[in-house]
Amino acid sequence: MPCLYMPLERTRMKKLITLIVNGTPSQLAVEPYRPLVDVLRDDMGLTGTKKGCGHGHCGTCTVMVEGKAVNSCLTLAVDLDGRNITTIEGVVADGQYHALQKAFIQEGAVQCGFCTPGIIMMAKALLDENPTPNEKEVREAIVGNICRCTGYAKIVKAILSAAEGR
Amino acid sequence: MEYRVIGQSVPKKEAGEKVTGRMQYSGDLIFPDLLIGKILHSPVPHARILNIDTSRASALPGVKAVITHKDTPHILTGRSVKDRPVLAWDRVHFIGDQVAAVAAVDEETAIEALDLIKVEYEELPAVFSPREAIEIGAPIVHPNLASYKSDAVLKPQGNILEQGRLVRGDTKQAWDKCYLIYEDDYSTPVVYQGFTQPHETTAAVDTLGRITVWASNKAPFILRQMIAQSLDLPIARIHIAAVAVGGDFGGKGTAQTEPICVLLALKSHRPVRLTLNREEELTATFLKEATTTHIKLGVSREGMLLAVQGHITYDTGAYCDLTGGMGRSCNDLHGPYRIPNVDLTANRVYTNNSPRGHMRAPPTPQPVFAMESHLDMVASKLGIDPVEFRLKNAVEEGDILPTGQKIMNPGIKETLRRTREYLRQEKGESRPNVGWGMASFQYHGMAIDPSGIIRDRKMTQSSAWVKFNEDGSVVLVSGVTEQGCGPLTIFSQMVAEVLGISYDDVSVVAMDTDATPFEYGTGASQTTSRVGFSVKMAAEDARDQLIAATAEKLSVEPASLVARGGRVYVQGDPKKGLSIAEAAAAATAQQGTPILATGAKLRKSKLMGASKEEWLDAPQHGTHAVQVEVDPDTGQVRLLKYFACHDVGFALNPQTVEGQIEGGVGFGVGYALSEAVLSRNGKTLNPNLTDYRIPTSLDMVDIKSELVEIPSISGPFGIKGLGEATNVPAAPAIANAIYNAVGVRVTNLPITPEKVYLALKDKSGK
Repeated sequence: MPCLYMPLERTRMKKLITLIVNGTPSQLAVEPYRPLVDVLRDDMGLTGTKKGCGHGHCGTCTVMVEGKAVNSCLTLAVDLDGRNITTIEGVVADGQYHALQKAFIQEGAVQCGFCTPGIIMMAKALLDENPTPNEKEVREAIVGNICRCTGYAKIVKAILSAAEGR
Repeated sequence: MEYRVIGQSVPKKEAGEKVTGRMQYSGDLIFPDLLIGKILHSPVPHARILNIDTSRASALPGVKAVITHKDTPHILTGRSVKDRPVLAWDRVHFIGDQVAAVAAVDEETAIEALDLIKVEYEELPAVFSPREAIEIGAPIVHPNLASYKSDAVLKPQGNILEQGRLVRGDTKQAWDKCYLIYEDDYSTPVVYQGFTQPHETTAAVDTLGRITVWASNKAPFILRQMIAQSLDLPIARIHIAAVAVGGDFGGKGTAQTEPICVLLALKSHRPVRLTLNREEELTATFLKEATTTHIKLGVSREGMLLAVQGHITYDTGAYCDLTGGMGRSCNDLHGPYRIPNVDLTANRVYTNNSPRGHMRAPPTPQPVFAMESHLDMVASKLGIDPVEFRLKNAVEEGDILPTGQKIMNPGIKETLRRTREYLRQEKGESRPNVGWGMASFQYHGMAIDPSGIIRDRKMTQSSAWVKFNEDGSVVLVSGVTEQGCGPLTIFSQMVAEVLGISYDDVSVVAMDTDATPFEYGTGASQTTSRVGFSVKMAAEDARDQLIAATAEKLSVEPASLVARGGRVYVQGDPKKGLSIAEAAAAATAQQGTPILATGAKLRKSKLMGASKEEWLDAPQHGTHAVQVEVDPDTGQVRLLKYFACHDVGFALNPQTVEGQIEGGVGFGVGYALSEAVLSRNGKTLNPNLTDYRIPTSLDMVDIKSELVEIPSISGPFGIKGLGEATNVPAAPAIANAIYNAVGVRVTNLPITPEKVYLALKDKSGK
């Protein structure tokens, strides 16, 4: 939705920003009202980050900003000028799956796959901070990420097994 | 028979693409000139359209197309019952009906353009509950209903779209013989499929005028037919291209917004993406029907079921996309039990509420919630253990159901025995406010239907090809979609098994109407059995061609050869043979072309044309048990333990099977405790994912799944259907557990803390 308190032309005046996405700085001209998820997907072609609801209700669009998990639909791109952003595309390192990605494949934690990138980002933020979480901590960490396919059982198992295997 | 590839929990074919975010969904297509589409929905529940003025919207800079009914042929559409227009032309039937659409350079411009479209409505009286809708003099939602086309025989009357009845014996005489007769009413709310990927379509028109559609749709060939039918276009002009589907659960098997996206692309001559937001999802898409049920059940002193009478009403809203078969609903009320006297009826009624379609195991969760809750009340009044009560009455091999069908290979009793064993081990000492509950179910999709409503037989066909490349590598070609339940994986396993090669050596081409043969679509718990049958048939054809070629080349008898371990060789003499690549090359040399093997017509030849009895091979049976703790001060219900036992016939991939069960339980837990689309006078009150509460990781517990494997004769490798019905027994099991924990019976879903709290207060007041 455009901002209701300003004439549309003014909200559309683009601002020049630099986003450091997965370690690579990019300069972008972005309208001030646009959320990060749209800029990642539509301007940068990083469609690995999925958009589930646009209101911060489902966690599907989770990315990391300076190491913290955020809903990229509730984060304005212009507020992130000069900041480090990690998306699902940045989780594979040197062509190798991350331990979480391996565990998600092995444990069968992937079904339709639409929530998967967001949950992996949320789990990565958890494991980066707490490398050995227990089941309760895992369930608490991903409580904002809706998965309709799995009942969370194999997702929780995969995150725990990734933590163990590290 | 010893298998090497099937029966193994191999990782999913596409899992690597999904964990890296590389998997492409319908909103992930990037075009430099992409437009954003938006739909204008009706703000009123029932009205005549007097005028639509789009001139100001069309003049807005950045708007590239505006469409109304004037841009469509006036043809009603729908997957089964053709009761709705692509864009309304004379009337709107609910708040959210599609009236106009725009395509613009960005979303903000598109939203601004919608505001500039002026529609004049003349409001008509509306009706919002089936009870009012069936009264004489009620506003008629579809005055021309009798003339609507449908591929099912419906005999509509007023606002009643279809009716079903199941009768056996004589209930009137039976009541006198009953030791106990118990009656009650139950109700279930409207619920939302809740896939994480919203409905999303991208459409583009090429220079030859062919239209390519990337859609969040699990039935590409049906989608193609429906776009062609509703827009009066030739099927050959439409290409549904392969993309993954981000969850379906019944909500993505029809064409609703896709034809609009196609029209916008045709009119603007640019690619268009049309995504529904969650407000539109919860207001204007096909959700699961609310129901009310009445049951009267009579039993003997020994706990044998003697008679059942009941009625269930489905509110189908303004449109009914797919008939669920009211006869099937009666069967679901009846369940997997022996009942000598039966009189069950069901009906589906139009109202001016939002439209209703399919959701995971239609129309079963509603009647099963009612009946399985009811059975527990009767068991408790008789003082019989609920598992024993069901065991006493459960169907057995060879039983004749009230439909006249003979039941074959039923698993119900075994799932009950396993549940009894589990409870024996787990039950422990009783604790205050903690209780166990259980429930069972029978589901057989379209196969059990006394009303004989079977859709066009050709439509349930599947076909598959197994192709050899010139280097001997293998490609499976199938129109099946992957919305998460694992068809690409298990069908690759089947091909590998039959050809004696490894799982990784099978590539899959799927989900594409140009590249693959006709496929009905993934769903109805039929995919593994129906598609699997044609896949197996194609693989066997390929194997036989390999064997024939090898036999000719080596001058041995074909019957002496086997395909195993990547080779075709003489049984008992593995050295005498060819590698698969050599055998494929021999076949190419002999036939002049690489092997192309086909499998098809499964449903028609193996099941559809079969005797009535064969139809009831392999009903789906299962039993769930759950332990809950109720907080008496707040009414809050917490799950402690969950056990789900299903007869799957044969587990082709046990990990995938478990995944289906766990996901189904999650579904059922939401249905039981938190989910309801609320509305007042046709207006949805909670159209977002915070006020509509899907279970989170903290609402769920670890689920112990137990698999019973009583093979079917009709499914490939003995499998039975599974996916949908895994959610069915959860709600009654939880309701029964709450009753056993604190002694209150909540008969209307969802069982919110408020309802439990008030029921507890009511009970202590008495």
